[in-house]
Amino acid sequence: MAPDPSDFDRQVFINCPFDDHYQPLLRSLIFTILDCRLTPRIASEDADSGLVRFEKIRGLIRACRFSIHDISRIEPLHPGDLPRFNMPFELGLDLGCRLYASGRLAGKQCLILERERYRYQRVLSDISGNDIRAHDGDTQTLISEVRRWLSVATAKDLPGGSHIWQRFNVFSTFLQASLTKAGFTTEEINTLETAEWIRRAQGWIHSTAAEQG
Amino acid sequence: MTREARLTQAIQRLSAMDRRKVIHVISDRDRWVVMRERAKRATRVLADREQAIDLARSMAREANGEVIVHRKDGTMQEWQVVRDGRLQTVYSYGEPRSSEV
Repeated sequence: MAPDPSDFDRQVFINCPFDDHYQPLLRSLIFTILDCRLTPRIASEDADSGLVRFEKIRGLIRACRFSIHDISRIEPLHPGDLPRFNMPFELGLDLGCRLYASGRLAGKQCLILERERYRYQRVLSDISGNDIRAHDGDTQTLISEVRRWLSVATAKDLPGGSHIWQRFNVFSTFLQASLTKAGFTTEEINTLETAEWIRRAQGWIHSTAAEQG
Repeated sequence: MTREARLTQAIQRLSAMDRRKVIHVISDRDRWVVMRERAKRATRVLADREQAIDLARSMAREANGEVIVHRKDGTMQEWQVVRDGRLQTVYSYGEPRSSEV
């Protein structure tokens, strides 16, 4: 189901790395947002190659009250690589939108994630004083931190972090079992498009919602 | 049959089975949670991973069900199914061992 662009107060823009190492963290982040009955929005959610990436990012920032930025790739992933600047750049765009816009855009809220708690201060000291949370590269920690932030930002009663973590585990293997049973190879399972993964997670969360009460 | 149709059929078949017969062993910090799928609470929380797996296997044998052991990142490490009273591994360390699940 395509996100409803008018649903500003329920949409969460995700600005994070898209490399293979980050994939388990990305999936746990998306699942947490979905299990909190919010809508994740991410640049890779559609396959429209005709849309310039910058325009897509601009549209997503305007469409979402909430944003989650993971700037972990301020450190190169491998020796000899260069750091990735897209995430800090998009964080700047998002903060700028909140500062210079009026109306509902002035009420936007964001969470900044990093792998280590104070490392960003060495390369991005302008945001010192902001609430930066560390996940240590651990999926369960990421779920817990994102859930805690969402509960304050949305002022909603949300499921507990352990509960979301257990459901994420169960869904991950349910999808893997389904795909294996349908004849998908391990590589096809590991490289499932984000949009398809989101669709499957939404379906599973919806189908199990009644049991969760 | 298309890729989408195959997957939809597989999901429907898996959803139709009694998911409470699927026993999960899930990492929770330095502990291991043993829980039936779709249960609201864990059956047991144990400090020892092997004890947790043994308990899950014993529950699966009793229920003629399945055991799924998770890795620290939540993904599947091992998937075992009870057939004729014996546990058979159908998936381990990312390599499916059987498509007839």
